[in-house]
Amino acid sequence: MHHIEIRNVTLVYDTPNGRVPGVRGVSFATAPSEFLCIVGPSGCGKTTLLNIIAGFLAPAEGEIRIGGKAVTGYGLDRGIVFQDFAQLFPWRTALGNVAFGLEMKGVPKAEREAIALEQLRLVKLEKFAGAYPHHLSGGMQQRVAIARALAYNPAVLLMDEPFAALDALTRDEMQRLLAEVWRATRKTVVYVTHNVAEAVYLADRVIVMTPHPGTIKAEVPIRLPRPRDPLSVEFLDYQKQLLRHLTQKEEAR
Amino acid sequence: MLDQASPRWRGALSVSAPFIVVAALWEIVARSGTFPRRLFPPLEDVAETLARLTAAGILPHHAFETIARLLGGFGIAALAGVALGILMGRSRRAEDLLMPLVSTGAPIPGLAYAPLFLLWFGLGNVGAVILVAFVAAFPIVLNSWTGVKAVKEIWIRAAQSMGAGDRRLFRHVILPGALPYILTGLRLGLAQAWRILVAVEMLAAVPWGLGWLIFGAREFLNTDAMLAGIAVIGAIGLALEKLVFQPLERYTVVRWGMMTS
Repeated sequence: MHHIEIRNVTLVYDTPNGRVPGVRGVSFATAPSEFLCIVGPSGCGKTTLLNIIAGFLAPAEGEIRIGGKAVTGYGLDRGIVFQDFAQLFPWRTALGNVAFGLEMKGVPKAEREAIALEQLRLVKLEKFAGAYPHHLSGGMQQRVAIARALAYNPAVLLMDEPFAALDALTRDEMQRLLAEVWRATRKTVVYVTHNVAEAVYLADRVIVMTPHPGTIKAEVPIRLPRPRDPLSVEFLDYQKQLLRHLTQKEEAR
Repeated sequence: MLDQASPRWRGALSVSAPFIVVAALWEIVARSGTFPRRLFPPLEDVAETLARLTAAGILPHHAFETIARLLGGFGIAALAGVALGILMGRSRRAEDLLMPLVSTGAPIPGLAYAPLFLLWFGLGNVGAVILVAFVAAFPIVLNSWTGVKAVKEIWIRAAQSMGAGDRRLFRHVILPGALPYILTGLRLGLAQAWRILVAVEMLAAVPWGLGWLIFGAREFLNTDAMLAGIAVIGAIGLALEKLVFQPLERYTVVRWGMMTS
């Protein structure tokens, strides 16, 4: 059984220089609880693809199904984490941010705050429940964003380079934390990144995309036990394999 | 203990120092005999007049009438201005329709409208309050509009993805997101309201009001009463700033890190 199904999705951008294909003929599917990474250089349409799955963009052709249901717009079955730290609402505390989705759902205050606190505990930020975002570091803000996207219990978590703007040490820490969170929650994750090592560390399967137009170049299942050791030979082999897929195209041009 | 007390003392001193210098210069000129005492009274005369008019209930009555007009006009401007500005920020059609009018009207000095409004709405309170509301609304509309435009797309996307419909998006995202600009607009609008109100009180033949007090005092060369009226206007402005705007900002946009204090 597939959880997310992307069938022959094409999206075209209208620009002053004519119509530019963003993604063309992209198809893939994920199993329930699968961690899928989409890797590619900037401009390959990976973020566009994520926005289509999120329902912010409508494809020109093709369809998206989640749990068998066609996607026609945004919905509470998907939680979204963006790259930009500014995604948190500055006027709400960490707890208020995490409780937002539940509040929109109409969950009573005491209940939603209890759930939000539980989610903050999952990302190890329960001590900062009362803090406003501008008092939190970038890494902490992204953890709050993850907790916020999980709080209303969506089946799917969509992540658009959430750690790309963090320093390398914090990023490593965040990746470890996300792997733990994923193990604990068993969400289906679609994670967009340009960082090959990050993809090998996190993913069950990696989809490699190439630009102009954005198409799928290769699919690489990562068959490594968790927690993964980024310095092991097998890990580096996977990294090399992905990099080969990413660079081949440019040589051929 | 001294260490804790001294910065506060220094703060108080640095705030009051310019006033002390100006007051000292004023006293020197007033007592030098260069100008007649009636035209350039020493500060003790002003203070005495201030005390006398306050004790007699005259000055409080003037101040009360002015504040009532100010709050009436500014209140209308705040409600209408914020609503209109947000509408223009949200609706393309409203923006296209109203923006040319607002941006043309905003730079026109409010006093230019005064004779027209007084003819239309008559001398007295109605004309004055409507004029104040009209003139004060411009900066409020413009800043509210800017504020809505400044709401980050990513907040809207995040909120929509979490199931916020249009109404809750407005209340929970657009309004707080635009608040720094809205507060700036309200502050500018209040300043506009003050300026036009004091001027129009001199023209509108209202029986009470600080503007009228100042204007009427010229007939008897009562410069001390004029200065007393000016001092009260300054005090009310300062009180609104310190007791209304600053606490409001500290409690909202400053606490949220959206504006530095």
